[in-house]
Amino acid sequence: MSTVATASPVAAHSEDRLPSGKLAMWIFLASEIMFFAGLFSTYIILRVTSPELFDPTNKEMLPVFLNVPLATVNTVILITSSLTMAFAVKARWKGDDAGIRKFMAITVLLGLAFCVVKFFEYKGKFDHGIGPGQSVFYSCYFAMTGIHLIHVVGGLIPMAWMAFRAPTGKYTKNPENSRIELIGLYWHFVDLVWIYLFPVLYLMN
Amino acid sequence: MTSSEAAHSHSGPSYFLIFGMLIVLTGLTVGVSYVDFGVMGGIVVALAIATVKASLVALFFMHLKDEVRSINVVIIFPCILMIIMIAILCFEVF
Repeated sequence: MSTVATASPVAAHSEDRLPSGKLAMWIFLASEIMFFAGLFSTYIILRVTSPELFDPTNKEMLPVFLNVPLATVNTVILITSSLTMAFAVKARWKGDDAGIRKFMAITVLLGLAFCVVKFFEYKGKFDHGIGPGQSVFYSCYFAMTGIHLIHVVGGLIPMAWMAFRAPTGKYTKNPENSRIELIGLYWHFVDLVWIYLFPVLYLMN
Repeated sequence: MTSSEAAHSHSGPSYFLIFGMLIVLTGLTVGVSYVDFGVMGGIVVALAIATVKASLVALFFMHLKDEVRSINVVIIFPCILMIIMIAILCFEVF
């Protein structure tokens, strides 16, 4: 980039310019990648080196009853919410305030649906007396899905606010205001983490 | 037309197509879980399908495909760090 910049500084910068907000969001997501990579590698290494800890016939393990249909439904819900979020970002590019509100609101509702499904999933575990301390597997399960759930809730709060504020034109008047795009990046990342969590936790038994 | 608007002129596949592919791959993920690949094999197959799905999300929903090239530094660097971290853990364990 520096060689191009010396040849034609102005043109090079305007074409190859990464807005600071977007750069900041990607740096944050990069740190999130490292964070989740730590959790994933812990789980996978435990699984590969100590298979007896994950043996469903192990007494301490209890019969593993992860609810695969519920988790599959949640996967579809999150992927659909990613789609509606992509449309919300598209609406902002078109300067369509009503579109932003509509798609952002649908995304928030889908995110809430994900939380409700998750609530019933956790409730099913607790009703059987299974908590994070049950076994190594359940420690991993609750830590990873719990941290992911916190990320979902952390996204829903600003998204609900943006759906509420969209009709004021706040997000379309100024082309430099890229909050819709930034929350979009974050939300797709939350979806992306779930894409890995789902097979690794639910489908390897 | 600013550079960001230029990048947004959608030339790629529609969002619905990407969505459809993600749903099909989700079905595939559930399907292959009934096939016995062994512990390591199962992990590799599951992670491979998940990586294809994650790439679709990153390239098309997060628009990495149309992003300016300098963003690769921010994205590739942590990926290299991640690979180093996992490699160190693997050497430690195996």
